[in-house]
Amino acid sequence: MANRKSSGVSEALGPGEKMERDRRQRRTFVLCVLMAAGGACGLALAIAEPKGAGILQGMIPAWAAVALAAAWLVSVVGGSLWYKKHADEIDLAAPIWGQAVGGATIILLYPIWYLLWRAALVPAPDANVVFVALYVVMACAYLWKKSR
Amino acid sequence: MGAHVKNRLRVLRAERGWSQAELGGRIGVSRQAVNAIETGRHDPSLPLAFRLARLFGASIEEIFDDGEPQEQWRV
Repeated sequence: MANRKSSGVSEALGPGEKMERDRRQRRTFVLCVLMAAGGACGLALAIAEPKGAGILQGMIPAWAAVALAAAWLVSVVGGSLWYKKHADEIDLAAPIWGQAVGGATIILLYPIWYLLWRAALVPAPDANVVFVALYVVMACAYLWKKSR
Repeated sequence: MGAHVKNRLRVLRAERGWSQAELGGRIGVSRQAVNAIETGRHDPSLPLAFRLARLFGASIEEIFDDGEPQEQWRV
């Protein structure tokens, strides 16, 4: 095999480098499929949204709700397992950290929001705000971990 | 994030003339993972430490050093 001390690209890849390239390509493929699935779900939801209503407001058809819920469940559970199969422990460290920080943030802040609402100090807790906030915190924690 | 252990991965890899990607492929992790372990930014899991030890024909203690004298913990 070719002996190189750098990690640069070369014409002759060693056996380990070929395995690493194949693993990286499989992982990238999984990510692309999951992103495409997310885009398809978002597009389907946008199409099913009632005209004239605000964003995430109004009723959507039952078939669309059931289909999107099923697609969400399958892509999140199946995608996570599929990604885990092709990712190494460094790949997994950032999303696990992001989920932990996101979950801890919600556990910490939701009761405060709830209690302040019970005293009529703030508006009632909003599930959409909680969900979006969870994703924002998760994304920030994920990117921070990735950047280290 | 806790104290990271020191390791001889870079030396062992250099002795064989392997790139980080070559070593990563042989133990089933990315080049970035090898780099993170070599630079002490990530402590490998026990299964990964065993894979490294088997690959280099060494014990885990010969590759990784947590700075603790072994006698201190011997019963």
